[in-house]
Amino acid sequence: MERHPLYCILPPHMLKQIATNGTEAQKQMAVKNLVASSRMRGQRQDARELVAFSRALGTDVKTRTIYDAKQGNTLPGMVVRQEGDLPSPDPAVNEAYDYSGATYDLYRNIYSRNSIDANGMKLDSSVHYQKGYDNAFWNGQQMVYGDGDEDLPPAQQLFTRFTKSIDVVGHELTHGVTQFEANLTYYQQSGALNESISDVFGSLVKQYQLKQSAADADWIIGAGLFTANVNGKGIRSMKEPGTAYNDPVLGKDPQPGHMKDYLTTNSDNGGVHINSGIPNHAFYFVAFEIGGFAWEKAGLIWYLTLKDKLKYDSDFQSCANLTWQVAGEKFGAGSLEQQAVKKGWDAVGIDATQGGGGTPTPPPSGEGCPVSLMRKLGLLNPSSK
Amino acid sequence: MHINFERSGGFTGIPLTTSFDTEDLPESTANDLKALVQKADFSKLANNLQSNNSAPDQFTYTITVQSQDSKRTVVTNDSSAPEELKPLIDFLNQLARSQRSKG
Repeated sequence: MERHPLYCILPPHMLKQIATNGTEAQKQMAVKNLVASSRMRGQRQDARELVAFSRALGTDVKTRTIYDAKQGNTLPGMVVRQEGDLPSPDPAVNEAYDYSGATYDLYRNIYSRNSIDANGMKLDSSVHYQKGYDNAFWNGQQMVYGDGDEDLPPAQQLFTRFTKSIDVVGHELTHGVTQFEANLTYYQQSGALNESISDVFGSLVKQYQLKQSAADADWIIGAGLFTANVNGKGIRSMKEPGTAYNDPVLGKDPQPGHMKDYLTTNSDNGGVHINSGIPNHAFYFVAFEIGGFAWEKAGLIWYLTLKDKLKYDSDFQSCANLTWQVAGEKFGAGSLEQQAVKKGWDAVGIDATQGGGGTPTPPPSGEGCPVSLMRKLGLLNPSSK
Repeated sequence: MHINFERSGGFTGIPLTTSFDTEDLPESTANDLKALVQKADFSKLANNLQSNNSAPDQFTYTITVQSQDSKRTVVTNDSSAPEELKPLIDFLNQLARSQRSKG
């Protein structure tokens, strides 16, 4: 945690004064220091009161709660660590806590976003969900993590616990961000964009924590999830889609990195975890082309596109058009950044300049009812045809 | 009784499937499984038990149970599966995972 030298020497009652009466920047710094110093003293109750205090003041503060589902399927489970608490003996609890904090920090520090809903939403995570649950998901309100193949004999285990990889945590939280912004329908191309945006910001959380440039980052999603029994670096590769794993038991990474290999399927909500390789690779290419830290420019272009431009039914073409448009607005028409966006989408077979700034595709016809209306009525089932 | 189980989606997107006749299982395992099918009242479940609200990265389960005189397919996911069906999903998940790992 960053500590401002001035505030470190101020007593808590003065920091509370500043937190109440100061400018927004002063408030932020005072609250940060109050929470940090009470944590150092190990005063749990103090830290919790401060979190409540700063929330009441309307100051941005991360508020994490980790629950233990104790291998059952009832959510959220039992509270095991709250904001300001000391670390737990359970590594899954600490990973969920630390990595959701790192995700909050990227969004807050770089994109000035106060949590998932941009309004200080509490970050709830449940670990140890079910037995032998080799998965993690966002259920609309919270993050949920399984322990992988912990119930199988060691020689048969393929997956370890899903909190182990920081980008998995960033990925799940970003599903929450998407839900509050474009709310991309989790089906076919809009679903693959939803997935890709989670991979993009999941990877950026990792790069931001490691302070890695686009050239130095591994661009692997889910590094560390496989046990040594699996031949693979991770679940997906944004740099080289289709190369993350190749294993006799799990098969080969099926992700395409170009529109010519786009897979049409009914499975996996229309291949949302497969075709996401295409926009994933476009983002990697843009970030690499711009150079430096990927979260600064490429990440900003993608974030602004998610927040202000994409719609629930946007497809790859409209995402390309809109990121190109945002790059022009933010960095100037014809700027190196805008050229990089065009090159990135060109690399996956999509012309970002075609379509004049990105008109979202009309809702699919033949449903007998507009998708927007179905959504309002709660009738939209992304997996049904 | 013939059972077909398919799990799709999830964070990894890696599918998991198994298909077998209960006659080919050890007798006690087959009996446990038949009891779970009965407990779930499988033949009376709706075909589509998916939630309206999409929950990203959840698993989708497609289960088909075929006996001499009936065949039923049910599609559901983690957060929408009815309580009485969950033990059957857990059982099939476990079976398919351990079969997969053994190659």
